[in-house]
Amino acid sequence: MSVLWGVAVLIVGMMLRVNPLAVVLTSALTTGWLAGITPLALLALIGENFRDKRFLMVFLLVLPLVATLESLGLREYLKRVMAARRETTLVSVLSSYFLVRQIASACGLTSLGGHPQSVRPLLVPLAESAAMQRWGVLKKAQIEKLKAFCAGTDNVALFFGEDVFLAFGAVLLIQATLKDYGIEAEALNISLWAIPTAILAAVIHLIRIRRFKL
Amino acid sequence: MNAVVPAANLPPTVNLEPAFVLLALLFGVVAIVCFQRKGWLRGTFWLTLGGLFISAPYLPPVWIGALVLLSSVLAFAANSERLADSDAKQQEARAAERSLALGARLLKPAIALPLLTVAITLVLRAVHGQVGFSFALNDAPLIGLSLAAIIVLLAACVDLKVAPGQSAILGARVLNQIGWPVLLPMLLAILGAIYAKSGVGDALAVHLNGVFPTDNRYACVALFGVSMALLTMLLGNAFAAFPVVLAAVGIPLVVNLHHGDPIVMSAVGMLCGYCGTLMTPLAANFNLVPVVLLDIEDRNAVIKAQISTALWLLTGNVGLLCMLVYR
Repeated sequence: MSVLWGVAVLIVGMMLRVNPLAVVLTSALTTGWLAGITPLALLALIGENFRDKRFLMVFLLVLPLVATLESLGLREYLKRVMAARRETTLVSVLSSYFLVRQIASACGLTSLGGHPQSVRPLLVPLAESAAMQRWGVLKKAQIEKLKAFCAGTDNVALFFGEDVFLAFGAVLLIQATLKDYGIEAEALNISLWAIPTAILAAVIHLIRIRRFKL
Repeated sequence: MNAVVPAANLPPTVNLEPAFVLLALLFGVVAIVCFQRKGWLRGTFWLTLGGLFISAPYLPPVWIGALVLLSSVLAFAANSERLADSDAKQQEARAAERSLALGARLLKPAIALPLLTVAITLVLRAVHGQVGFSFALNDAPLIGLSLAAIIVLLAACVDLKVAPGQSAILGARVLNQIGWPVLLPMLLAILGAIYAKSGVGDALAVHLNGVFPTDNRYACVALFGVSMALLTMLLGNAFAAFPVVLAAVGIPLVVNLHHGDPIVMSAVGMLCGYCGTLMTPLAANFNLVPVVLLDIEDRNAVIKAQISTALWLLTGNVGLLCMLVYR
């Protein structure tokens, strides 16, 4: 039987929203079994790869620092700085949030933003008051459109900022996977090639912010 | 002091093992945090993981493999375990109070961390092979990150008057909140290795050969980018799509057949996958959770808000792939 059934397990499992941990391991075991690898050799293969891929987790070493700064109120500080700005048009609120979020993510500070931490308590209220200055009282559908756009702005800034940080998971995953094919890649090199897309994402989304209408 | 070093002696090697020991210690703190709150399964999971990080170079691979499976089962079982609530609300109020006094001083370590990481990395690359210790060039960024994380943490602890042990506990709490998904990149990398070893790429490439113009190198690299986006939409996760698309299209067609640059291809290709993430309801954390959190009626509102950014950016990324991969 074809090893592609192992890939099918991954796709179907993820689509059915089974726990990803279980899906990934089942797919790994199925694929190896279909390829004719003995169970012991498969365990050894998993073990060797775990040993050689521990470097994927090193980025967690920044957590104590980040958590300390957050517990001391780094987020609240940034909130105050954002809220104290004078000219608060909708375009300037959304653009400045986008840029701060993207640059912070590129520095590895991905948890500074996020929907529960900053979109809901900070970005949405600021955007709503700015929108009301321009369009007056908003209808329910308009408020929902604005909220969704705020959430999307956070996502885009995060996704296309974090890859620029050289110790981010995706960068290390690329490094590890290429190595399986005998290709040596440096993390710094991989993260540098994320910069053109990061700039492109900023240009595209800032233009969309500028043209955003309710 | 014995200053004469015999010529046969290799220079001392610096590798990432000390960083893994530090990580294991952090996992140990997470375990303690869990045990204190009666999360026995969770605590055992983190303890096993920490043990594996330290002992991996010394254990036979079969044992490590078995323990990895065991800890995954533990993680799975711990999912249903409920921990006693911590005082999150109180902490938040305290943070707001403190930040008034500290202000911009909090920003300095946040900026120093990435700058110092890159600085150490560049210095290590510059002195590689010319100093009294040896290291793999590929390890330089992570050695840089580990050192920077420690140096900046200690400096921040002194400047902000926090005990280093306290910050380890704070970091451990965050790690505990993230939970087992923290292992996902690593497991997907292992999955990718098993796919590579099992010949998944060749099996998929065979199916492509008849139906796709594989002799056009731009068509191949465009196929790589677009498949990353599509498979990510199907799987809900770009990390999971990457090993499959790399094996099926990236390695056989773009790299082996047309000699494209695998590094640029992978970096930009991953970001094509992220465009897919913006368009799929399967990426629940990003696209569905905010709908609930922000009290929006239309379940797909966030995806609708993102779709034109995603499509324009995907187009741009495919353009970048065509321009940069065959430089």
